[in-house]
Amino acid sequence: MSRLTRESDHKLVQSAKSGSSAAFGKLVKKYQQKVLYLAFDLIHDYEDAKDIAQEAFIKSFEKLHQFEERAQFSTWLYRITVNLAMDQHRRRKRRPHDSLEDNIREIERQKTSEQAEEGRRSERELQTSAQRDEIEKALQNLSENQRIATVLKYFHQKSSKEIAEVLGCSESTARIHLFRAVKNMRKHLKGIQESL
Amino acid sequence: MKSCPFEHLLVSYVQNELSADNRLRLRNHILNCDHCRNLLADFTSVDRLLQNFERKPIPKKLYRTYKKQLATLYEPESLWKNAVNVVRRLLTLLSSRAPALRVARSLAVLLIGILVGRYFFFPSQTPEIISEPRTTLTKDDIQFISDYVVKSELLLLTIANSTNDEPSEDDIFLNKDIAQSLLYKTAQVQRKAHALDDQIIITFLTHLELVLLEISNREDEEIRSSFQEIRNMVNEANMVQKSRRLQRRLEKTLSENV
Repeated sequence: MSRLTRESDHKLVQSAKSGSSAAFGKLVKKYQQKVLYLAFDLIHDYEDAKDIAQEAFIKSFEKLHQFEERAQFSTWLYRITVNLAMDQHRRRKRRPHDSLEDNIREIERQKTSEQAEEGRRSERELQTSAQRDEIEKALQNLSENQRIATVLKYFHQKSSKEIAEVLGCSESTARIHLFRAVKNMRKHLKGIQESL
Repeated sequence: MKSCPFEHLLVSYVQNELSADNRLRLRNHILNCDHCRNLLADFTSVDRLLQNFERKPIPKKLYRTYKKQLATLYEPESLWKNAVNVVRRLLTLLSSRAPALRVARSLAVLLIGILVGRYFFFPSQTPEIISEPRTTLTKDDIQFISDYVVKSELLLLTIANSTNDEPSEDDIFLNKDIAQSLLYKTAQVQRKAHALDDQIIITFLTHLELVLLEISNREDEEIRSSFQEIRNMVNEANMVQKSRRLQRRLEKTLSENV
């Protein structure tokens, strides 16, 4: 993140802390898409991702006065989002029936939309879609920390230092999570790699 | 070799996160380590795959709803939106089936009915206060008041200066005669004084009327026994002095023209 962005975030956070809802509005507008994608990358459900992203902003709004700016605002916001997404993920695991029903619904929905779109897709697009599905599956098989580290690194362009701040661990631990994640994904993605 | 102590640095190497020294050192190691070389090849391809990964776009409708809901966090609701919300809440309240609200609703309807019915069928019966038109005082009117005050001074002086606690029959007769003739004109003078709107004259006339009533409505014997009280009444209220002051005031009014 550039120095300019960080400074502008700092100013906006200061204004928001002193009660400016317009400043908080600017922060929301700046990160709303990224936060929604982050939530979706972690739990793979649009509706849940939307709820989590909204909750993350509400929480950040409520806890803003506690934010001491030791980390960047975006990192702090990402940490809130990641925690909420992981809570949701664990809740889902505890309710296998719901999750199964959700999965069936999701599969049916995807099948319908895929059938509808299949005719319009080119071969190249189908190949990309298959790759995407494989990558998503490989991501789902990772441990929580490995998945968070991978998502932050590759989909949100965060450095190892920022990943460590989000995960609340040391930078070297974050690198190890990332290393193990890539190592595990390598096994799952062997087939795709060979086809490339 | 199943693993290498430097392998965990490979990801950082691929992502160019190592310092220049460490990067150089690791590159030298990779050249001599088959395990790390193979791993690096795999990591590079996984890295490339992930770097080029294209997410499914977020459905537009969902994103719109999400943005709209987020906006409520920082955008104050407009006045008309608040008004609509108030009306909506009111309607919800009115259509509620809660017993307490039903009773309150019935009472409100009854109250409105009573008020409307009272307005249409029983119009206000409070008599209208018709104010007397104020007459414009002439010079003669002022003169009339002035003569009355002069005459009253005569009576008041006789009472105030009397040293005898029990006046003679003649004195009583004279005082009673003057009092009755003054009392006869009192209402007329008071009316004119009100028209003049002079509070000093009005107060004086009220006091004087009390004295006149004490004298004119009593029997001679009663007057004699209560004469001391009447005299005290006149003296305590400084009625003689007030009468003189009033005369001067009225003369001044007369000279200034009405």
